[in-house]
Amino acid sequence: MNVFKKRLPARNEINLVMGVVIFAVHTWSIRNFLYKIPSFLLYTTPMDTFAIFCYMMAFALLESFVVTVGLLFLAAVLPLNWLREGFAYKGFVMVFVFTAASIWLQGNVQNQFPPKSLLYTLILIVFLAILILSWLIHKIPQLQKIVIDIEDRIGIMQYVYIPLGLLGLVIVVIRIIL
Amino acid sequence: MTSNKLSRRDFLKLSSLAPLAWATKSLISWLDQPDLSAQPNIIILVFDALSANHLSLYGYPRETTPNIDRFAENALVFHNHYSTASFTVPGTASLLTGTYPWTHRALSLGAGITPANEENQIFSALASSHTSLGYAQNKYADIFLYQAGDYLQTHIRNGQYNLQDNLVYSRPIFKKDARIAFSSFEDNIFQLGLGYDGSLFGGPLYRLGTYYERLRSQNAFGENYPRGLPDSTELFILNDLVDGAIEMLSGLKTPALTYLHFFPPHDPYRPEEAFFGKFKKGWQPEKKPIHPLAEGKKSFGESNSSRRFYDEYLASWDFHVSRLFEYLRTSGLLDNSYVIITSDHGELFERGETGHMTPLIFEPLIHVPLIISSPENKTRKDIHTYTSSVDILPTVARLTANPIPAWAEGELLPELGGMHNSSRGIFTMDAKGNSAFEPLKKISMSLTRENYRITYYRYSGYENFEFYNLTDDLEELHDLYPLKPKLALDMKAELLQKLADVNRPYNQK
Repeated sequence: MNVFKKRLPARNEINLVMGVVIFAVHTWSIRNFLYKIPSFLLYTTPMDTFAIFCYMMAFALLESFVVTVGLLFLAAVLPLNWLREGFAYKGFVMVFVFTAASIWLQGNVQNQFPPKSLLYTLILIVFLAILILSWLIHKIPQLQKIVIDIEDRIGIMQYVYIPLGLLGLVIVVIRIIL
Repeated sequence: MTSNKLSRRDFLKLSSLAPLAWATKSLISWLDQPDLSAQPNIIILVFDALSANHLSLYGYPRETTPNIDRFAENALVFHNHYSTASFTVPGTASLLTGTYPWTHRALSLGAGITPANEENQIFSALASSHTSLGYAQNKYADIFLYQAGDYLQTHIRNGQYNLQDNLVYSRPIFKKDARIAFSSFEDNIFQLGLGYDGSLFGGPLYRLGTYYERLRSQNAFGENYPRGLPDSTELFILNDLVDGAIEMLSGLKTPALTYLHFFPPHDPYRPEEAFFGKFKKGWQPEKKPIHPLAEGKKSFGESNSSRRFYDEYLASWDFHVSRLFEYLRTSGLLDNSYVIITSDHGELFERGETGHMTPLIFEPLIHVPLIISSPENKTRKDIHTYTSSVDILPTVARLTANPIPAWAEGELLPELGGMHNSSRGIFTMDAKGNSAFEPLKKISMSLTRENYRITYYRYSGYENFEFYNLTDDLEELHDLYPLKPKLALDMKAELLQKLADVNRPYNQK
């Protein structure tokens, strides 16, 4: 366990990356919720609409947690200089590229499983994009500073999104129990 | 002179009678109870999107349903039965609650019955006399079964007989909050191709996983289905569905109320190999003009192909469902059950539309079958009186000697306690774009009576009445409204009055 802990990135770097994950996941979730609100309002009461929002925030919180843990796991098991060193900006790059790939997948994979060649190409593009962007940021200190500054600012949203997620979680638990 | 005082001996004598009095009371109360073992079962079989106009039983030129036709040989066949609505949500809610959409207010896709009415269902109406079992393969209909709460004793999961069982809302953990879980997960977090997922990373993974599973199922079981496996959001096999139905019926605790809502022949239309191409040749439908409100704008050729696949899929389902009918016969269930076959709405393949997600109201979309096999009557009887899907609940209540609930808005069906009311008006509506909490403003609404139909379309940019004579013009090709016949104006006034009446409580709010 201790060996595993030693391989984890520094706490402040984890916080920065977690802030980005929470921001991306929750903002996307809220964007979709707002998009669906006109249809929800046709048949749900304001309380029900709030309950749906709670489900979404609770799910987003759990999803953020899982993604962050996934990144930490990767940082711990990969050679240290691959991800652990410079975790703050490499994690940012990974979240950024995964987000772009995810949105692309949602918009383009509809109704059936995509051809394997398309999936392999996407995986290759994602891998290359992470590699190139990480290398670029690693080589250019100004870029590193910009990324860290962005993460710092995005991180503020944690103070809104985490309480929202926790509130959602509590309300969902109450609803499914009572 | 005798004393009125009760002696100790008298008191003891009287006390000795107390157990007898108690036993007599229990005996009387036991005798008062209805003999539940003598109660008939109620078995409601709903085939989703089954248009009466496509059944050979009702004169369709293609032989789509020979087995349903055979079943009807020993049953009451209602020829003019109409759904209150043109798609699953309001149509099923009316079946289950015995109320019109303007009362139950399940108007849009994904909607539930409003909280004030959600437990006013057939399950609560028969709760004191029947055990209950419910199954709805259509997820939108399944929501209502969750809303029945404890009145529905056995709720079979929506995906129980599918090849996949991935829907999140139907997990036991969400049993108490299924309606909101459905809107959150199935209508937002995991959209499965119906738009962007609310879950940024989980959505695409769920999508890929589900589609991969579909691909595997298709490869493993799809050999017999040239257009792909039947699909209710999750893939399934017709044979499995009938096996499931038999399994559900074989375990009934009688007397039972059983509501089984099967997805076929709902789209996508996926006929089996043996029926694929069956109707390629032979009778072809009449070409009809594209309606100004048609959203699909499908060409005649496209509509025609879809119609053919629908008919072939229906024939496939009819072939399999014969095994269910045979089970009902051999198990003896037909001898002590009312078996009701009907649908929540029909299907349309004309005027630029295919399917049922349309504001249009025409005969194939709202005319649904109603076939009732009863324990006492084993000969076919044809009934031509106009009836509505809201009539099933009060009729079932009466057949089981239960009081007809005050909330029910239908009438008793003819031959099952009701009268042949030839002047009755039947209302059907679609208001999927209207809020459930506001007056009905965006609406298609029709009134059918004595072989005439008036339909009112009220949408922004399009407001119109159409009037058809269903005796001379069953295909509804000649709109008589521009001629303003007196009957049309009378029916228009009645329809508008009804609309004003049902809107009044919401206008006052």
